[in-house]
Amino acid sequence: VLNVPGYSVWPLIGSIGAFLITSSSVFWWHNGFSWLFLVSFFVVLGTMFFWWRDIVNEGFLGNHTVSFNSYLQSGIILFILSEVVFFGSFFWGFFHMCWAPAEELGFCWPPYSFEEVIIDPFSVPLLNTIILLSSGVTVTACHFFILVSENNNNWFLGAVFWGVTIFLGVVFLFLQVEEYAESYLSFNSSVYGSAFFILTGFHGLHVTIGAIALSVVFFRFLTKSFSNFDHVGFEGAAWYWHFVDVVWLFLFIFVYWLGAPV
Amino acid sequence: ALMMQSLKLLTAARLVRSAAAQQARLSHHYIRTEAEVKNYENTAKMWSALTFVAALPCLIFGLYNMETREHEFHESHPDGPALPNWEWNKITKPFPWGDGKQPLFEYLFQKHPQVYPPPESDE
Repeated sequence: VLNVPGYSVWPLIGSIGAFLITSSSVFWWHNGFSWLFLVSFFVVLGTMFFWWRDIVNEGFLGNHTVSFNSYLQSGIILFILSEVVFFGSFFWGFFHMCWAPAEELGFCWPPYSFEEVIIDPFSVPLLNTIILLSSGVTVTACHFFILVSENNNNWFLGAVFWGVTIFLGVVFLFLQVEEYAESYLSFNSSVYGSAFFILTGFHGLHVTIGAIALSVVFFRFLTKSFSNFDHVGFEGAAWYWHFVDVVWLFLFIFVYWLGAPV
Repeated sequence: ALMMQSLKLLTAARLVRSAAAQQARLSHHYIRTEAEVKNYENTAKMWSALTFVAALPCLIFGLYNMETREHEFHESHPDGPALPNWEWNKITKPFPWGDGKQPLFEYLFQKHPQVYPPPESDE
């Protein structure tokens, strides 16, 4: 017998909002700023807030039995898998371009004359790699501190490591924004710029999403929504954070390191 | 008839055993032995020790390495890096912000005006 909660309106509203965001942003690029874009952006944001609020409330109503939690976890894993193939498509495009560089680029990668504006992989990107890997260590420590926490004692160390994880994520984002601002390259800098910025840009967006997810779940932890055996929200946020870290490792190795001049 | 009865008993026993096994699997989450709790505590201590013994030194090294490389680069390139072939940087369609002539992070931060002239200039 499956414990399925009742019908919800949010999937429909969320998909309408996502459709409006994409189509209104295309309208923006062709015809100038579109207010519909702002409206649809808040529709999607609102969907996220209300949908997950509903899940939290169902939890307080007692729906989140141990077996039901495994369904929530499966849902989160499927979402992360969809993100994997999302990044896979941009990596496909990048590999298509960099493993068979076109005549216009000088038959080499990075394109001819781009050597000195390519970001040195062992400067800021190496630091970013160390930052994300360290945040993976701190989020694991946090998880185990949660597993041994009781309601009113032993929660402080988990909270400390949690805060350190979010702080490291924010430092990563700050460094990436600084790199973007200082770089002479931009989106229209030949196909190198296109591939580089679509990959690193979407990765930065996903780090932002992961940091927001960790912060929201942190708030729920501090307001005593979790127990030491029932914390699916934290596990989901932590898995998403590890996924973001793995994508960065692929980016660092294939785009920054192997994509740089020898 | 005897076979049917024994079959029914066997299937009933199997169902009871699997239900019990599932119950044990599920309640394992919140019914913990001393050994399991000790294991969790030791793992927590290990990962927190790793952050100070492994992650923190690597972070310090990464920061020092970055500062050194950036310093060396700026010392050896006082006029900035050799700019690439800007034939490949043409803007054939205006960007949807500002006057359309600057990429987004140039528009936001204005760091390289000699490469991307700001809006109110002639060239």
